[in-house]
Amino acid sequence: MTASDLPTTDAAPAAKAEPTNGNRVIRIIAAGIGLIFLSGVFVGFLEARADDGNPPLSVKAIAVLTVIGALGALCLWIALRNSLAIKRGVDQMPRRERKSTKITIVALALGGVTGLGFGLTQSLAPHLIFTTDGVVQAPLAIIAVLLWGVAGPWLTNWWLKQTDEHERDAYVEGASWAAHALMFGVPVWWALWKAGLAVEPSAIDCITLAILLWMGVWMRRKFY
Amino acid sequence: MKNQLKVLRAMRNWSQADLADKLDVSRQAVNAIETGKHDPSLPLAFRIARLFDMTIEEIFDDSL
Repeated sequence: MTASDLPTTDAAPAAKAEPTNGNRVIRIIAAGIGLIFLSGVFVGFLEARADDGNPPLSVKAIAVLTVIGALGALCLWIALRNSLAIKRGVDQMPRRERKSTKITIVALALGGVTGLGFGLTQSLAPHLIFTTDGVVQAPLAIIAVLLWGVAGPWLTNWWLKQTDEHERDAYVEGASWAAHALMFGVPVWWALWKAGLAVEPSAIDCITLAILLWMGVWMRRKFY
Repeated sequence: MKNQLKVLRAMRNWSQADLADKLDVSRQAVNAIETGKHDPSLPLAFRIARLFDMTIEEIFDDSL
């Protein structure tokens, strides 16, 4: 028997139609991005309505809100359905993969919930985040520092020690791509802005793009 | 790097998940090694060799 006589993976033929965990993670991320986008549209609608003195809702406005609500529910359903499918599969995973996946899920949930929470609060109730001078409330700043400066690095370091060498390599390759994208992309963006050919570089946009690139390379290398 | 992992695993009727559990890696890692997308580290190569009671050279072929 030679390697070419055997199938590439040990998945049963009937299971081929089932999406992989990589596809499920991509769907959950896409649903999360969709939810953030829809939250922005909803907040924009509320702000525009407030600027007009909160008039009664027209049929058109109700239709738009219904579509936003339906799309939001669809995103939530996609995220929940795929999360539950991953959870069911986690119990059958090899020990190290199971532990690594659980930490990843906790980190993604923590990051997603706090990010969405901060974003929505900033739009819906900015007084809870900012003082009258436009400064971020000190307790919230401390929470953000603890999350991003302490819990994040600690969780990442713990996960890196639990995961196997294949995923660690994928993660490091993603980090390398992200670092290079920042190193070369930010000066290019800055130069274009200085020449009046682009909008001013935004730190949050740069970090978001770097994280998306990082996760894209990481997931591709891990699952495909 | 070419290797005999898939054949050795099939001869023992192990799934990728079974082998992953024995090697303490993920199923994706076993798949990546079998398909030549990931070259294992020296410690993992030794674990594989010990598991199959063979030498590293008998399992992995580094000839170009």
